[in-house]
Amino acid sequence: MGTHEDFLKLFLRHQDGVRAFLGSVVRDRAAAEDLFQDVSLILWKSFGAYDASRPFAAWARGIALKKVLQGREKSRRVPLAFSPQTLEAVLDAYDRTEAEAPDPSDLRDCISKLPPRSQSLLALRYERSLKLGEIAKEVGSTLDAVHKLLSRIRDNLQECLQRRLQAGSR
Amino acid sequence: MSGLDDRIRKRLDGLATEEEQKELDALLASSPEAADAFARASRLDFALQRHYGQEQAVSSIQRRLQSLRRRRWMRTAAAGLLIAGLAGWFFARGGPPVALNGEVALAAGDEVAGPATIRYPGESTTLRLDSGSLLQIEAPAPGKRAFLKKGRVAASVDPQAHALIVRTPDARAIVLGTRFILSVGAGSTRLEVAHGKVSLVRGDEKVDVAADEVADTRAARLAKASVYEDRFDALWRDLHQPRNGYFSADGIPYHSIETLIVDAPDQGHLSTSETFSYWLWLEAMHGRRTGDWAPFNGAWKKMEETLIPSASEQPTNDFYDPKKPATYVPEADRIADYPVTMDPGVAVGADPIAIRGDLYVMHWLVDVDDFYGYGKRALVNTFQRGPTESVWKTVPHPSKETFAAGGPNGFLDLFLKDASYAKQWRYTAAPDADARVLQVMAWATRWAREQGKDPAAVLPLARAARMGDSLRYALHDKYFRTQHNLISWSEAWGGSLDRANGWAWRSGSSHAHFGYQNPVAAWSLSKNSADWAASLRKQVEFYRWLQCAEGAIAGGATSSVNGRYEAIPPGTPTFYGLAYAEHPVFRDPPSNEWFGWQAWSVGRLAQYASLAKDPAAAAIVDKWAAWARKTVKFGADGGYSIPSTLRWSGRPDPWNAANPGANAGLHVSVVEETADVGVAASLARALIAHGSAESRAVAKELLDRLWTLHRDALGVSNSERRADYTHFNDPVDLPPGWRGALASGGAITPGATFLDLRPKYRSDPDFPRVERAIRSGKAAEFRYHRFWAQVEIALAFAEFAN
Repeated sequence: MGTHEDFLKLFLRHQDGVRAFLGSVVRDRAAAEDLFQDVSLILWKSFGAYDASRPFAAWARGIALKKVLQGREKSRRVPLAFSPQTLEAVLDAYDRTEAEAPDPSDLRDCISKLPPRSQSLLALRYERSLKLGEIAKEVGSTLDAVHKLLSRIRDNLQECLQRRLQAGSR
Repeated sequence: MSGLDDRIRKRLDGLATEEEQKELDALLASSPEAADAFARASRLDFALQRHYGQEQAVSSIQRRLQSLRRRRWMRTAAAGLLIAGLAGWFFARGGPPVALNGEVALAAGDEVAGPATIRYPGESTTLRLDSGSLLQIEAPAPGKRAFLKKGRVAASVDPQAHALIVRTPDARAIVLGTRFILSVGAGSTRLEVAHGKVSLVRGDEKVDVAADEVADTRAARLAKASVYEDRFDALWRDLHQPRNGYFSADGIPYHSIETLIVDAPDQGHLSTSETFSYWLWLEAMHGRRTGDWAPFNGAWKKMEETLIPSASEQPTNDFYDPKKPATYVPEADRIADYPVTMDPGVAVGADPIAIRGDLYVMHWLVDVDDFYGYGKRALVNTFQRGPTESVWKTVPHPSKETFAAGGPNGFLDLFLKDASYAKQWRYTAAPDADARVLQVMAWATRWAREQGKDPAAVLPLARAARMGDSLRYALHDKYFRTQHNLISWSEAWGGSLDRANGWAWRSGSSHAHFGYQNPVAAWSLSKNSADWAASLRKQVEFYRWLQCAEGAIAGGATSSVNGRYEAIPPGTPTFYGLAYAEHPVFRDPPSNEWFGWQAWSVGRLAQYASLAKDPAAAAIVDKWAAWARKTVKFGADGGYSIPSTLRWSGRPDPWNAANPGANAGLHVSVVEETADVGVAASLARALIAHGSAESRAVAKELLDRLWTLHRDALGVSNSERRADYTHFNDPVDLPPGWRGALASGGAITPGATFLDLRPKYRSDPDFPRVERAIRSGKAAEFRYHRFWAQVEIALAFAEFAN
């Protein structure tokens, strides 16, 4: 059995992977955060059963998926984005791509290389949490144009992160 | 971008249609490559959220650091702070702190007085202390510990390895990760939970409080309840707590606790028919929750005593001739064109209602504490001089004109030019308030029946019926030339005080604003009144006619262009012969700009749509709610904003009942935003009445944020800037040479200002703040507790719970 400190260390390191997974399969951000709180408690209570030879993140996400499916069976209040079969597929994909999780400092560098206008758009979307329609209104553009622009910016970021990963800069 | 990537992005950006969502679902289940792409994209999405969330926190701390560096004296203090990365906190006084209050490190034993925000290094846990609160940091054991000695703390707690425990003098809140509010009152503790679970412990008793629940140690046995119902009860108690000052000593609700406030009523201890209508709402909801209808009946009785003129206050109604209801008086465009001259040559219609005897509706304004000098509880009036008369230009005058104040003719010759003047009484109803009372009665009747009670035995139904009957004057043109059947801006009635020379008059109003319509009242009255049945049909069509392309509802219509029965200008869209009016009745500020009308009025339409299951009304509300939801912004800092001022362009299509137009040329935009607590609650109520999951979610978030941010010891209030208070010294524009005397003493001379006509403001304790603001040119900030707003908030909570 691990100690409190072991748990905390692993939890703090991998909590983003769990939150990202929950955020991707639950439609409502607040509901995802609520689920994450419940999952955190379960992880803490079940830490004694954790097999340290297995990846912590995969174990934690497996528990998160169980909690998501339980919530779905008990009540329909958790707004899921996908069918149970697809949730399993997404879980497996998260495990397969674990090594590609964006490193915060790489992400910061990649963002800093973007043109100012792209950075502003990202800030509107992620700092001010505006919806795409609101961003379109704010920048005097159309919803479709903002969607395409943001998609391109995120593709560029993804490529930048991949390059850094391959170059072993992490 | 590939088709797959596009579908993934649309899903993550909330743009995917149901069909696209289904396609993506199938693709991810069948293709590991697609699932991997989704995992990468969603990880990046979350990483960006995380990055920008942290950027926000870091830049705020860096700004504070820069400000610290500028303040040299602070450098010598032992509270220097550096930040390196997210968890890198180091302090000049050595070792990591237990917590931080802004840039000041806190150790065990330190006390923090609110307002303050306490943070913990390396995580986003925050404890936000209200003003007047006191919290002591305690040593970790091993989880975080704090002692809330008094006041209120709103906490957002990251998941904790060891429970965070906040003690109070009589209880403990045990937390592993959640959002909650803990407050200490007189010898008791109250816990509200927004997310997750918190245990509240008192001695051997323990209760687990989940999201949207509340527990309070005042109860003999520790138990939990719905947080929203509890908030209604808390505000009901606040409103009835005598020391809070919402009511006068003789039980009349004031416009606001605060005396220095200039809204439509120009002093806080005046009261209005609006205030009373909200009081009745409050007591009706209380009756619903408790089964006790005595407070509702008490409020009705007080309304009747205070605002509905008694028989002796309308003493010459028996001289009223329905065939000649009133002599035509033109309305003027400019204040300078007043007084105006009566014109008996213009035809007026006959009054088909012809109620014999007294009218049973409220006069709109009462001076509760004798601010103007006409006596306590004197009925008074202000607005009289056309569309450009803002409150700052009004001349307050008594409804009973005895020539005791003002000029030789009292105040009559400010408004009307005549050869001679008679002592007289006259009253003006604001029909939206009376209609609200009738709307409330419709709900109260329903709720009493649900309780197994006979509504006629527990509610003043006969009096309400009488009010509904008298309110029909508002469905008529000012001079009865047409029955437009919309709830218009006013109804007025008056007569001579001298029975030896008796006469009386009555009028409706030509101007209909969408914001005054009340389909619930019309629906409830329509069962026994053909007029109200016709009004109900017309009102629903009116909303549809005025609904713009985006979904908001535009101004209104008039049966008398410019108040002078001028020809309708060519090209003006019409509605059953009424001309479209972009801003009915007043232009300073334009009456179509205030967002509150949207929330108030469409909230009523939404209630009606649900009560009567009317698909036409429901369709209007659906479109409106979709627009209204989009106008609400929720900030990452826990704040919110809703529209304050709207701007309009274009006009509606001419009305065609068989085939209503799309109004593609009528548009609205939001030009100013606000966090006003009253209007936010009105919007929440409208969305709750709409009832879709999306609308309820926005309403809930608004209400939760409003409560967390703006709850105070007297109710709910936030700061507002009153740039308009520079107008205290503006002249009210009297006719040339007009002189008179105030009832409270003092002369009214040419050039008299708003303040000159309200000299008691000079001794108001808040007046020096107005003077300073005028001198400095910097708008003063006030915190107000308007009665209607407090009730609106209370009702929003109760309606959300139900």
